[in-house]
Amino acid sequence: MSDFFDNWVVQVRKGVIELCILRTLAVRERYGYELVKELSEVPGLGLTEGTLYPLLSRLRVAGLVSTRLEESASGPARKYYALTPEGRRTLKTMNAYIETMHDSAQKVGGAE
Amino acid sequence: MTSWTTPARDFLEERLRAHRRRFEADGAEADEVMSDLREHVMQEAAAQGLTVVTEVDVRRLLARVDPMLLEEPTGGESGDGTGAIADPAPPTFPGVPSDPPRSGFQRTSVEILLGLFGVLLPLGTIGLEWTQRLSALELTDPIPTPFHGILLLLVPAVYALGLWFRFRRPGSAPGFYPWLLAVALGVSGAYAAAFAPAYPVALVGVLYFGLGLIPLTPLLAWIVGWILWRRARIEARENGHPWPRWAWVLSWGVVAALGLAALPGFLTEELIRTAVHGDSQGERFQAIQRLRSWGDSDVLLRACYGRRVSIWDNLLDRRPAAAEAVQQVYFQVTGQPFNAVRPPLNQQWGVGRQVLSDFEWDRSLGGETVAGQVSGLSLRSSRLDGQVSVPDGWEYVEWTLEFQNDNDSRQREARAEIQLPPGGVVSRVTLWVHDEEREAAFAGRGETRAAYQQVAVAQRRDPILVTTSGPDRVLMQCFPIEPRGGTMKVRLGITAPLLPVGTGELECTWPRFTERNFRIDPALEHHLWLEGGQAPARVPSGAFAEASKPEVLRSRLKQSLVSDGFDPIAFAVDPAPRPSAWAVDDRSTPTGWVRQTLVDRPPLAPGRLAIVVDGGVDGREAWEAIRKGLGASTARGDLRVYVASDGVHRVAEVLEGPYRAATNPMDRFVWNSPPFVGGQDPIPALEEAWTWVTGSQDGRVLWIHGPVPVLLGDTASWLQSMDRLGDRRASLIDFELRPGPNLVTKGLGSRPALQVWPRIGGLEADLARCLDRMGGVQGGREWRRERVGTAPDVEARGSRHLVRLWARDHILDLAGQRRVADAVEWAGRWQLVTPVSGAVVLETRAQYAAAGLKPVDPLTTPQVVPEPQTWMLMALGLGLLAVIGRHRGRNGAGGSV
Repeated sequence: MSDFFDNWVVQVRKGVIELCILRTLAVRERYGYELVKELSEVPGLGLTEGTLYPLLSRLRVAGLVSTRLEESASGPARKYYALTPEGRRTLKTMNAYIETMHDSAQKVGGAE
Repeated sequence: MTSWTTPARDFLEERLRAHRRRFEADGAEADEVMSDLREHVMQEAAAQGLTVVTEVDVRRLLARVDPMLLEEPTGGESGDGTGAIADPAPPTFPGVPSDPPRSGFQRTSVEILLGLFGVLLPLGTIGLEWTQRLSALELTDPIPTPFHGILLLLVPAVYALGLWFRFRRPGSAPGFYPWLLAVALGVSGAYAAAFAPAYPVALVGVLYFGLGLIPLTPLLAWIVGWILWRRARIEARENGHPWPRWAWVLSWGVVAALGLAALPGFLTEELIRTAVHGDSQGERFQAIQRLRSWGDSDVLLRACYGRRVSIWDNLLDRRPAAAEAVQQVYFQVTGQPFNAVRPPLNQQWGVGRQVLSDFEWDRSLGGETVAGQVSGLSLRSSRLDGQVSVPDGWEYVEWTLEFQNDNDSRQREARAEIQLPPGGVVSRVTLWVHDEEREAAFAGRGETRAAYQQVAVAQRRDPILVTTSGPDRVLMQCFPIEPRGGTMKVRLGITAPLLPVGTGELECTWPRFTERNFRIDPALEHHLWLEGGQAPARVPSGAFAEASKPEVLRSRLKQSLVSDGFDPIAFAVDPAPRPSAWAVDDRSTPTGWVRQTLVDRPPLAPGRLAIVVDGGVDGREAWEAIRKGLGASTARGDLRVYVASDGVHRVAEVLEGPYRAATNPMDRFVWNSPPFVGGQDPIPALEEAWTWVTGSQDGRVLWIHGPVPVLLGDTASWLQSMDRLGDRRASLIDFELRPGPNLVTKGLGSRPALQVWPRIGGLEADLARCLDRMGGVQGGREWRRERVGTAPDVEARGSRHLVRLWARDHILDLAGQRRVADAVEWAGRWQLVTPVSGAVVLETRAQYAAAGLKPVDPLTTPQVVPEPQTWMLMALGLGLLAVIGRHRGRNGAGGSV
C-alpha cells in the first residue's frame, strides 16, 4: 500500500478507536486489562495494547469515562472504567454522526 | 507468585519515564498512563506464568504491548534525561522483598532477620542441644554422630556466607556456593521434617507466651535457606552467571541421605517394640531375627538404658519398650550382656549421657542386680595381696578396690559380681570410713541386706554389703560414693582351696569381675603380690619373682586379664599322698579339730552324659573344641549332644558306644543348619537333657555356655523336676566359656546337684579334662576335710583357713538340709559369706544396734600375714581394749565403731 493510504488509515482509526472504547463501555464497565485485551483483538483497528491507555486517560480527563479501583483476589487492585452520563450522551451523538457519515459516504459517487 | 528483579523494574520505569512527554502530548495524564501501563505489564507477566521477571522478559512484553516504548521518543517527547520532571511515587512490584525498592533501613532489617533466624538462632540451638540434649530427650536425637554435628554447623555457616556475599555485592557469590547452599537447604529441610511434631506446641508457646522458638529453628532455618536460594539464583541470572541445574537434586539428595541414615535406627526402634510387645511369639521371634540381621546395635544399646517418651511417641500413640525388656532383647540379638559393653556415649564431645536415663539415674540402687554402668563411676585402684600355703592347700587373697565418682551431682553405688576361686568363700570385708578400717558384721543374708538398704538408701551413709550371687560368686555393693571426685575404698578377703590338677600340681586362681556397673580404664593395672612358702612351678606371663625372695611373686595385671581370666599360678606338690593337715576350731563349743587330706578321686561311675551347648555366639568358638575333645576321647557310654539355638536341637546320640561317634552327626548338624547366633535360652535344652539323664543312675548334664544375663524362659518346670527326681540321681556341671553373669545357676541356689567346673587353662585343655572326667576316664585328686571332736595325736598347726573352708562346706550341707538357723550361726562364728549369710559394714554403733548386728573383732579377721597365735591375740585384745576405753572416755558413747 502507499504511504497515502497508511496515513489515511491512521486518521480514520483515531476517531474510530475512541468510538469503539465508548461503545464497549456502554455495554458494561470493564477493568483496564480486560478492555485492552478485548479491543486489541478487534480486527481492523490495528490497536496495540499500549496505545489504549493514553486514550482512556484522555477520555477520563474529558469526563466521558470514570474510573474506580476494586480489590482483586488474584492480584493488585483493578481499575474499572465506566461511561459517565456525559460519555453516554457523547456516544449517542457520535453514533448518529458516524452513521450519517457512513451513509453519506456510501451515497457519494455510488458504491463500487 | 511473580517476582520482579531490580533490573527489570528499573528498565520498565526507565521506558515509561522516557515516554512521559508523549503521553502528555496525547492529552492524557502521564502519571495515570504510566501507572496503567505498569499494571498492564505486570498482569501480562503474571498471565504468562512468569515466576521471575527479568529485564529480558520486560523487553519481550513491551515489544508486544507497545513497541514504541522500546524506541527512543523523538524530539521533545522525551520525558527523561532532563531532570525537569519529578520522579513519580515509587511503584509497587510484586515479588521477593529485594525487588521493590526499599530504604536502607528496610534492607538492613531484612538482612538482620535472615541473619537472626538463619545463623544466630541455629547456632544457639546447636550449642544448647550440644550441652543440654533437650531434643534428644524429648523428641529425636539431632546429633547422634559427630558427622551430624558437622552437618548442622554447616547450615548457619553457609547462610552466614551467603549474607556476607550479599553484603559485599549481590551476585558476587562464587560458583561453588549454590552447591553449598543446596546441602545446607537439604540439611535444614530434613531436620525441619524431623521436628515437625513439635511445631504445634512451639507455635502455641510463641503465640501465647513468646517462648518456644528453639523447636522452630529447623523450620525457620529452612525458610531462610529458601529465601537465600531464590535470591542467589535470580542474582546469578542477572549477572550472567550460570546457576547449576542439578543443585536442587543435591538438596533433595541430602534430605534423602539423612532420611536413609535415620532409617536403620527408626526400624530398629520398631523392631525392638515388636520384639517386646509383639502379639504372638512368632512375631516377637521374627523381630529378634531381623534385629540380628540388620538392627542398629547402637540404638539397641541406648534403649537398654531406658528412653523417655518422646513427642514422636505421643504422636504415633506408642510407648518405648521398658529398659529391662530391651536388655533381654539385646542379649537375644547380640549374645552379650548389655552392661558388658561400654555405654553408647559420644566420647568425642562428652555429651549424650543424659540420653541414657539409666546411665544417669541408677534405678538399681540398693538392689540385687549389677545393672548397667552409671555415669562418672570408675575403679580408681585395685590391689591383690595373696598368701598361699602349699602344704595346707589354701590361698587367701585380699582384694582392695577403690572407687571414684566423677559425676557432678549424684552419689553413686558401686556394684560388682565377683567370681571367687573355685570352692572359695569371702571371709573378710573391710570398709574405710574416714581413713579408718571398719570390719563387717556377718549375719543372716536378709538381716544384712535390710541393714544395708536402711543405711544406704534411706540414710545415705557409708555401708558395704557382700552377699552370694550363685555358686562361687558374690555381689559386692557399696554406697554412697560422693560426687565430684569422691572415693570409697573396700577390701574383700577370700579364702579358697588350692586346686589340685593332675597328681603333681596345686593351682592358685584369682577372683575376677563377671559384672560391674563402673568403668575400668583399660590402662589401669591391678597390682598383685603373692607370698608363699615355696616358689611357684609355673607363673603366668607378666608375673615375676622378687629377686631377694623367690617365694614372693609380683605382677601388674591389665584389666583384660582380670576380666577375662588370669592364668593360675601352679605349685608343685609331692605326688605321693600327703599326711593330713590339722587346724583347731576354737570358736565352737565344744572345741573341734578339722583335718584336711589330699586324696585320690576315683573316676566317675558310668552314667548318661548329655552335653548342652550354647547355640549363641559363644558356642561358635567352643563347638570345634567340643568336637575335638569328643573325637579324642576314649570314653564310652550313653551320650547325647544338644544345641540350644532358638529351640532344642538334639544333634547327636550315642548309645553304649564311643563318644567319638558323636562327631559325625555334629558335623552334619552344623553343615545343614549353622546355629550360634545371638543369645539363646538354654532352659528347654537343659530340661530335656535333665529328663534324659535322670533316666539312669549317675547321669550328668554338661552345660557349656557363655554368659546368661537374662532368663528367657521359665525354669519352674525344670527346677521341679530337679527337686523331685534328679537331685540325687544326676548332676549339672556348669562349664563357662567366659566370665559373665549366669542367672540360671544363680536361680539354682545351693542345690547339691550343681557343680561348677573350674576354668584354669585354655578352652581345649579344660574341655578335654572335663570330658575325660565326665566319661569316667580320669580320676584325680581332691581335698577331703572333716571335723573331729577329739584332739589329733599331732599338734594342730594348720591355719584357721582350713576351718573356714570346712565351715563353708558344712554351711552348704546345713542349708541343703534346711537347717538355716544352724547354717547362719556357723557363718557368723567363722565370718563367712554364704548363701544363707552376708557381710555388711555400717558406719556407726547406733546403726549396728538398730540393725541388731555386731561387727567382728578386727583381731579375729584373717590377714595376709600369718595369723597370730592365741596368746598374741589375748595380748593384743587387752591392748586394744585399753585404747578403746581411753578413746571412748574422750569422745563419749555413741561414736563410731
